[in-house]
Amino acid sequence: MSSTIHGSLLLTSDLVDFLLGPNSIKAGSCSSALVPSISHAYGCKVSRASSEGRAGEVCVFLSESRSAAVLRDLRDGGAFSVVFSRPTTHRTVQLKANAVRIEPLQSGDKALLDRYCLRTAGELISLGYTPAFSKALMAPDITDAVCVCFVPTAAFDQTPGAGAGQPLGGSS
Amino acid sequence: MKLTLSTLRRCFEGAVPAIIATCDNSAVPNVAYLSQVHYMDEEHIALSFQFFNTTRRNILVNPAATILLMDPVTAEQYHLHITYVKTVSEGPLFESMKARLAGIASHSGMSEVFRLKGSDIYRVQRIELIAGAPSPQASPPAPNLLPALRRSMTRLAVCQDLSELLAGTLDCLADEFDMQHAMLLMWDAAGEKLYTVASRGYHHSGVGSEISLGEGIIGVAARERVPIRIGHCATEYLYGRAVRDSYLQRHALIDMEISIPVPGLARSGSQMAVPIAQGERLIGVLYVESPQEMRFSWDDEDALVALTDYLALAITSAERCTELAVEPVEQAVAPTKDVGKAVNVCFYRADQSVFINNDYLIKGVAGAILWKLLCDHSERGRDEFTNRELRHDTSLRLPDVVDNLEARLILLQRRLVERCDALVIEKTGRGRFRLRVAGTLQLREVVA
Repeated sequence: MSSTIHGSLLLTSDLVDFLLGPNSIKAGSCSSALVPSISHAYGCKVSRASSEGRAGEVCVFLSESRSAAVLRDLRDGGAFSVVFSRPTTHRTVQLKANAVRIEPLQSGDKALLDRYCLRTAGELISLGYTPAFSKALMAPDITDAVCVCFVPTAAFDQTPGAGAGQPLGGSS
Repeated sequence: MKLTLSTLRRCFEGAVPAIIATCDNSAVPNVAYLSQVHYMDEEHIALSFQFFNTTRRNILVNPAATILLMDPVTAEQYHLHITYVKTVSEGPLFESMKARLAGIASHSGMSEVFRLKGSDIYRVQRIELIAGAPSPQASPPAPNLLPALRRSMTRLAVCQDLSELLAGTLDCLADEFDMQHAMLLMWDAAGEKLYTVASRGYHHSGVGSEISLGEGIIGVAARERVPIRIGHCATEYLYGRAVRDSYLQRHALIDMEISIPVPGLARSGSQMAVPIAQGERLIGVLYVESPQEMRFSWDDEDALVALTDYLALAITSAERCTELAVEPVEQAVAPTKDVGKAVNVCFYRADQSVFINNDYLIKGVAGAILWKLLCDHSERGRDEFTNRELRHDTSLRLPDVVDNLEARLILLQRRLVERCDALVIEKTGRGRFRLRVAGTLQLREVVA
């Protein structure tokens, strides 16, 4: 179970391990006209809370072309919602954030993204999906990725079952 | 090609779960996986409402939502921009989704968790192919079912009567659609149950077995007059088990001895039940199953609905012809004198059940028909009969409603073939048949 630090979510080791995949990741936002947007995200990296009290930060990678609406809404100041789901276990967690920072990929990010995606494709293959399909869905060659960084303010367990929707922690 | 909902139906099969994004009035987005997206028509879809969760709360205050769909073959992705309209919690749409959800839940070991509270209906405002999304492999050519449907209708068009229509339908399913496990059940309006008249691809035919309205996928399809298609075996919709459980609840165990087991695959992966109906009148149900999961597609459902619509017309037409025409006897044969071993027939008036040499054969209207034939044969030496005289015989207590007399004769004929060497019913012309008895009849009626 996570708790909060300075209004942001404390990322526990268990949660960080889970976020680092392999997961299918879906990212959503919302326009000022209250029209929601959604797209795939490809890979994730996490920086833990520092001893100086800086909150932990999560970054996911989105494709400019495939996530056009989500990125437009985020650039307009829309809030962020990301769901991580492990195909083989159905474990699912949703993170929320009030604001994000969008930046170009840094050195090493593309390799990280590719590795994360291939591991997720591997999960699908282990479930019986064909390699071609699994790779096309989870590990396409993303050439226009940007990094969306955010400090989660809340996390929810969305694993199907009795506990679905329960907060893992939340903003104070 | 213009994007329409029907061209995306493959995405709704559940092979790759769809995702929905909603937001509340404060513009806080929420993203959630969907158990089921149900194609209704070219402008509407329905989503399963299982829990009162954030998605539910959001759409009640802000009806706009966006769905991310993935094609399970090409991996192409689509956005559906939708608006919540209303929720229904009963009726054909709800029952169809409930049955499919039970299949999904059973597949993922979550039968206790997944309970459908309602079907949320949404209007689809816009469909969008996501730019840059991959197309890793050309979609393999889907089997074109139109030629199969056309050939099937041509084959059924030459069938002369119900018996040929039933056999022809099962042949077409096997030959034209590669559906090897199938059964046809007729509706007994007076008894409010379905009874199996023909089957194919099972160890035992199960002809004569009965299913009540609402029992299993077949009973629900009949009650709601809606086709139901399940891609994963749903334990609670296994009609055999449902029927048996229900039977045990309602009857003493001893009654099980005179029930005929419903045929079925021990490990069914996919099931589809399609009502055979003409207008308001339910005629029966066509049921197919396969050991393979996700065997039946939306296109298969379309094809079988079209086929059963045609079958319903053909059955109605055949009934009319049989009723009107009584052809002369094809070839008169001298009545044979009954010789040989004794054939003990016991008729129980209470449930019209017939036992031959102490073995259960049939009950209900079919039992009463056989008893009348045997009495006439024994007392008056008759062995030629017509459908018309049976229909007008008040002792049979035929229901006033359309009663499928032809279907009951087929049922009786097949039970005799399977269970009794000494008695044979053979058709001698339209609306006319002959009873052959090989042995000496010893009839006993139990009135109590």
